[in-house]
Amino acid sequence: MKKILFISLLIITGIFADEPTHFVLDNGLKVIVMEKHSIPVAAVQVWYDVGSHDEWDGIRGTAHLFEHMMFRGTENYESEEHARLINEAGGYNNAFTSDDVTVYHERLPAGKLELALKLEAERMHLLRLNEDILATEREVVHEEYRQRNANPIGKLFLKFRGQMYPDNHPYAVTPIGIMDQLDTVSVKTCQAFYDMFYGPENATLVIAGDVDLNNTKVLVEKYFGSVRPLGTLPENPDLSVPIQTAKVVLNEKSSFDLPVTLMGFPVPGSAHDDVAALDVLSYILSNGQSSRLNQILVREKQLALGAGGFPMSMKGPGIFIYFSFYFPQVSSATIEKAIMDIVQDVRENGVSETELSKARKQMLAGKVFERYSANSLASSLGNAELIMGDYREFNKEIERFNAVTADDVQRVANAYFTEEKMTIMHIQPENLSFLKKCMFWVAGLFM
Amino acid sequence: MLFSGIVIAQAPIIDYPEFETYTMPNGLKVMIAEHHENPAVFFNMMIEVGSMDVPVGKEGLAGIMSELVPKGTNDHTADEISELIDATGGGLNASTGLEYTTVSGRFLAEDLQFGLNMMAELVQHATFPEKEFKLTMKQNKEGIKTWYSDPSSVASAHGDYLLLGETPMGRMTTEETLKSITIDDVKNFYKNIRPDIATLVLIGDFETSVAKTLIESSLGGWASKGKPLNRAAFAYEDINGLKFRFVDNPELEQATIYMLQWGIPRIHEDRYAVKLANYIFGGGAFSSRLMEVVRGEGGKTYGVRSWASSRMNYGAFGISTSTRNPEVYNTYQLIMSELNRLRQEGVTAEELRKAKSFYTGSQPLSLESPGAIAGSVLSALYYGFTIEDLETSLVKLNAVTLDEVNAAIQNHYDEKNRVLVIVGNGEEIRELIQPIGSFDEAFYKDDVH
Repeated sequence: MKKILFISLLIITGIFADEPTHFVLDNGLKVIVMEKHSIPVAAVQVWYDVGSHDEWDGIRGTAHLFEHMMFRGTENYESEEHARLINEAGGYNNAFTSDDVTVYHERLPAGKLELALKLEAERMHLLRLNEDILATEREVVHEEYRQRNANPIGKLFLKFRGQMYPDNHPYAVTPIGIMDQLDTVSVKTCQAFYDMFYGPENATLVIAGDVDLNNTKVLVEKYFGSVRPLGTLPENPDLSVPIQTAKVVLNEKSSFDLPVTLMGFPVPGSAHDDVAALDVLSYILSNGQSSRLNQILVREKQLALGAGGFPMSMKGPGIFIYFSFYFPQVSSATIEKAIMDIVQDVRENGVSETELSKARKQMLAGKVFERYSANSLASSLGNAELIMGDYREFNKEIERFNAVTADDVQRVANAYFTEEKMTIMHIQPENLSFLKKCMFWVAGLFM
Repeated sequence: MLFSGIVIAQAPIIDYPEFETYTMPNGLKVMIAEHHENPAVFFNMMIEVGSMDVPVGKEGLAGIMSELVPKGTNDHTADEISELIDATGGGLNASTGLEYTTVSGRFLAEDLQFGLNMMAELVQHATFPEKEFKLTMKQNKEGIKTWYSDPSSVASAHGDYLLLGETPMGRMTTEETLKSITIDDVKNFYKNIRPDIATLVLIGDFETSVAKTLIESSLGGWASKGKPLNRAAFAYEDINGLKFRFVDNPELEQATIYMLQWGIPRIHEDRYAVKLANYIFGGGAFSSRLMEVVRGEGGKTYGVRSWASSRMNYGAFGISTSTRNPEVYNTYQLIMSELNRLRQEGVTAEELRKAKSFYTGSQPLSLESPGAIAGSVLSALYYGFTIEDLETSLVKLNAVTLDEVNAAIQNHYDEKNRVLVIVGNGEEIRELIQPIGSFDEAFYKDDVH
C-alpha cells in the first residue's frame, strides 16, 4: 500500500518531469503543452468551444457537417490536402463533434510538429467553402447517419437520450443532427457558423509528446500569432434547463435478438463536486469482472450476458446510464428489479472500504497506462480544460478520486438515483416466434 | 531512449528495446526488456495453437477455452481470480486468434510478481469447472445470435466462407457447432497450451535479474506432456470467376459491399510491394484512391477501405464499404473502375514516394506502448522474423522500386477471380445488383453455408 501511495504522490505533486503547462497568445488562444520524451511522437489537438448545443432550430447538425468542411480546403491548401500532408509525414488525423466541443487532432512524428501547427492555424482563419463540396459532404454525413441507424440498439439509444433532454434543452438533439434541416444548410450558413465560433479566443490548442516548450512557443506564435480574434463570442446556451423531472417508461421492439434495458438518471455536469463520487461508484458497479453489476446479474443470478453503469460526462447536465442485455427468457421487470436492488443496496448500505481501495487502484493504474500515449494525454488535458473547466484538473483527478469516502458514494447514490427521475427503456426482440415466446414464458416461471 | 531513427541512405533503422533472450529447459522462449518510462509492466505470451486447429464442426472451441481459462484453477475460483486481478488495477486476458493463442497482461510495476504468477496459474492449472462451462456455453449460445445485427460482420462471415470454404478459417461458429462442444473437448484442447510451443515477451519497469527469477519461479515447473499439435496443411482452392452472394436484410437503409480475393502469405518476397500498393489503393485513409473517388468526389459513403491481410500459409486482399441503397450499383462500379485502373496503370512514382513516407514516419507511433512493442515482436517471431528484421524493415520497404510495386499488382491483384458479398435490403437493391452477375442469396440471420 505504501508503494501505491508513493506512486500517487509522484503524480499528484508533479514530481514527474513531464507536467503540463500553458501560455496564452495575445489573440486569446490558450496553449497547453505537456512534454513527454520517451519516443519521438507528438499529439496536436485543437479544441473549439463549439458543439451541437450551440446550434439552433433550423440548422441542427451544422457543427458536425462543418467539421467535415474543415478538411475541404483553405486559401493555401486544396481539399483534403491537410489530411494527405499529415499522412505523408507519417501521421494520422481526424476530428469529432460532441454536444459541447469540436476537436481536430493529429498524431504524428514529433519532428513534424511544425507541419501540424501550420495546417491547423491555416484552417482556423483561412477556410474556403464551396457549394459543390458542401453538397458532397452532406451526402457523406447522410451515409454516416445511415451507418449508425444500421445498429438497431444505437438507433433506439438516440430515442432514449432524446427522452431525457426536453425539447428546449441545448442537448435535445445529438451532434449528428436532423437530416431534413441539414439539407437546407448552405455555404452561407457554414460561413456564418465559422465566423461566429472559429477563432483563437474560442479555441484551446493542446500539444503533448516529444516537444520542447520553448521551441513550441516559437512555432505556435509563428503560425497562430497572426490569426485575428473573432472579437465577440456568442453567448453560451443555457444548460441549466431542468432535465428529466418525472419517471418515464419506454417499451420498444428491435431486430436485435436479445432484450436490452437502459436506465438513465440525471446527474450534474463534469465540473460539479459530486462527479468524483459518481465516478468512484461507476468503477465499483462496472469496472472489471468482479464489479457489482457483473457479479450479481451475470454470475450470481445468471440473468444477463452483460451489464454496466457509467456516467455520460458533459459540460452541462449528464446522464448516469445503467444497461444490461439479457437472456430472452428473463422478463424486463426482473432485470429492472435486479438493477434497482443493486442501486438500492448502495443507497441503504453504501460501499465497502475494499471496493473503494480497488476503485482507487484501478483509477491510478489507468492513469499510469495513459501516460504512454501522447494522444491520450492530449485528450485528457483537452477534456479537463473544456469540459471540466481547467486543464489542471487532469492532475487533480486522482486526488479528488482518492478523497471520495464511502459516505460520499452513498450520498450521491441517494441524491441522484431516485426512481422519480428515471427514464427506462426496455427493448424486446420483435421476431420471437409464438412457440418460442411460450417456451420462454414457462422457463421464466422458474427463474 | 527507446526509439531512435538512424538514417542510413534515407531509410531509418528502428531501435527496439534491448531484449535478453533465452530458452528455459521446458522449451519456453523468453524475451525480456527493461522500459522505465512509467511504473508499469506488460507481458504477452504466445502459444502456437489457434482456432484453425479446431476440428471441423467444433468451431468456437478455441474461444470457449480462452474464456474458461480464468474461470477456475487448482488454487482459485473464477470469482477469486477476477477479484485478485481487479484489485491490482491491471488486466490479464486470454484470447485465441486464428493462428495462435495469447495471454496478455498489464500491471503496475509493483504487481509484476502477482501478474506473472497468475498467468502461470492460468496456463498450467486451469480446471474448467462444470458450472462455469455450463454458464459460458449458455451465454455463448445466446450471444452468437446477435452477430448479424452488424452488416459488416455478416458480410465478412459470408466472404470468408466463400473464399476459404469448409476449413476452420472459413466456417463460422454457430449454435450447432457450440452444441457439439463438450467439456472434455475443452480440456483436451487446453492440453495444447504447453511451454515448448510458447514464447513470453516481458517489457517494463523492472530489473532484468529480478524478472528472470520471477519467471523461473512461476513458469519453471511448467511441463509439456505428450506430442505437440500437428497442424493440418492448408490447400488453396482457386476461385474461377465471380463468386457472388447477396444477403438480404429488409431493415437496412444502406448496402454493404465486401470483396475478397486471394493475396500473399506473410513470408513472401512481394510483401513490402503489396503493402505499399494497398496503401495507395485503399489502405491509406484519406490519402487513398478509393477514399478520394468514392467518398471525396462521389459522396457515396462514409468510409471505404482496402486491406492486404496475410497469414502463415495464405493471404487475402479485401475491399469494403457501405452506401445508400439506390447507389449500390454505381458505388460497386466506381470501386471496380479503380481496381481496373490499378491493374492497368499501376501506381505513380509520386504516390509511391508518399506511401513510403507514411510508413517511414509512422513507425514510432506504433511503438509508444510497451504492450504494443510486445505484440509486434511476438507476431514477427511467429512468422519467423527476428528483431533485426523488425529493425530493418523500413530499409527494405524503402528499397522497393516502382517497377516492383507495379509488377506485384499485376501478379497478385485480380479483378476477375474474386468473392463479392452484398448485404442489403432485397426489395430495394435486388434488381439494381443484377447487372453485376449471377448470385446466390441468403437471409442475414441464417447460418453461413
